[in-house]
Amino acid sequence: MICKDFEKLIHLYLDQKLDEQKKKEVEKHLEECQKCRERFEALKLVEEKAKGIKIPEPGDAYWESFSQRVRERIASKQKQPFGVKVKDFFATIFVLSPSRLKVAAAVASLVLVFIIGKLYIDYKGTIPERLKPVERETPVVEGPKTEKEKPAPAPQKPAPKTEKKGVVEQKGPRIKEEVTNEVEKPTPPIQPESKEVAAGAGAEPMAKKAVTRDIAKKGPVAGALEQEVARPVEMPEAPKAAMRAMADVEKKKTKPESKIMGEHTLDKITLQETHKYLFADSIEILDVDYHHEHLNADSLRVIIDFWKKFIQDNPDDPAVEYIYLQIAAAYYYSFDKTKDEAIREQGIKEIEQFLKISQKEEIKEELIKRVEKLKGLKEK
Amino acid sequence: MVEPKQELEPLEVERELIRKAKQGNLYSFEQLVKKYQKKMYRLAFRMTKNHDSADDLAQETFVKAFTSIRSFKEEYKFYPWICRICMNLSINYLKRKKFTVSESELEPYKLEDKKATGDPMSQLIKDELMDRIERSIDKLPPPFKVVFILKVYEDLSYEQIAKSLNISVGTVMSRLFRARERLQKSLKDYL
Repeated sequence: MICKDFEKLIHLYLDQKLDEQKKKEVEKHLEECQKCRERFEALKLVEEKAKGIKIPEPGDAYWESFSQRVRERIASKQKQPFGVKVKDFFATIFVLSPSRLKVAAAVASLVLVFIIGKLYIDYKGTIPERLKPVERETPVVEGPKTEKEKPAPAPQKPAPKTEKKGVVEQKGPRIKEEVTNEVEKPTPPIQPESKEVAAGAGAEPMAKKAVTRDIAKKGPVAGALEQEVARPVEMPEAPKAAMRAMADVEKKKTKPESKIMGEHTLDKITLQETHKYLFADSIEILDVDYHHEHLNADSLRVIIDFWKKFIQDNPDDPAVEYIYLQIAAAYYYSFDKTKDEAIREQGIKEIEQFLKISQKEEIKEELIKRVEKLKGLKEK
Repeated sequence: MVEPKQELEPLEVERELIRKAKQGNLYSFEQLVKKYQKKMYRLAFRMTKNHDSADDLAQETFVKAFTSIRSFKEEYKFYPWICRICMNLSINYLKRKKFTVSESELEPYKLEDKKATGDPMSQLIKDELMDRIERSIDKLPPPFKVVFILKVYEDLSYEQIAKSLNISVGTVMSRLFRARERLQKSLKDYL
């Protein structure tokens, strides 16, 4: 027998579990190998010494009362409410141990990550797409611009009514001031220079850039006006490119594809913006008035024609329903300003047609109001 | 130290007591308590090294035994079954103790046979060795410690230990041998 074999049998030999033959082999090896003999003696000594460790005896009184205490404990256990029993049961099951702690920590981490993730997703989901910051204006605003170029301060419209309207209403005051400054002039098309003078800016040719910038920020109405008023103005190439890039980005953001882009004569940025608001259902119905009430009859005509052609070309566009409202409002204000009976009748006729094909209740309600208003104007 | 011979009492008497205890007879169960109380207390004390804990665990062992005695199969011996309950409770206690240690548990108990006899120097060395062995046993992982205690102090065979702890004989041997190796290693300087 070699030492390695002895190592395997040393404990069994100590516990006297070896058969006679193996026992003899081990004993023979112990006689021959001093190292193994010392190891065995040490092992035996530890066990003998361990056996020698005695424990304190609690005394007879303790033992006599032991069974009594057990009985009392059993009785109290039996009276325990169910909740305590369940608690005790779980206390014995969930005894802390390193492995269990590791598992518990891993599970807790996963749960935490899940909760944080869910909270984040929920939070993100509460911000409507249309209320998220619009980045397209930045490059235009940051274009080459000096103090001179800034348009003169104009009388401000009342502040926006609600938060929801935030994006739309940003355009409101601008449109208004441009219209009052530019359109209400009775004489031939106003040149950019004269516009700046009228606005009290006192600055000069930089008006070109100012107009360009404003085009990008106006709604369809303002866009129509720009087409009329600022036709001779040529956009600088850089802002144009920037606007084109922004328009592409916005187009991607808009859910279904619309054919509105680039098919009409109006500035594509303004059209695209208007279309986005229309489509996003974010347009406040009252804003229709806000956009149209300051326009002259010719501008309103441009708008009516534009949207009618758009509907004709894109009957399935998701914004069509809202475009009915645009047309209805344009007819209303057009008649209000011209008092042309033909316009009024045509408006009533077309709005009633829209009413027949409109699917949205809110649109129908507004169209009915508009028809009634038009009819009411006649009665007056 | 408990002699294994004590377990060889007439099995029929014990079975009868168990049968009655199963029917809810607390007096019969008390007879079983009286018979095994010292063993359970000592086992618990070996595991916990604390009188209060040992007392509590020993009592709890019998309470648990009584509440689940209906699941006990009469063809088996009562002692391994009750021993398993005691050891499981002790192991759970030791695991919990890792995180909460009461003041009373920190006080080392005094060995009974530390009375000086003969040469004071050799007695001192002996005491130190015993103390060291005791501490080394105490530091063993609970599964090893249980097997070692049942083998050394209760003098149970591998099979009896395996039955008591509901583990295989191979596992018993492995744990016992590893416990011994660890003890020998930790006492290397004293041997």
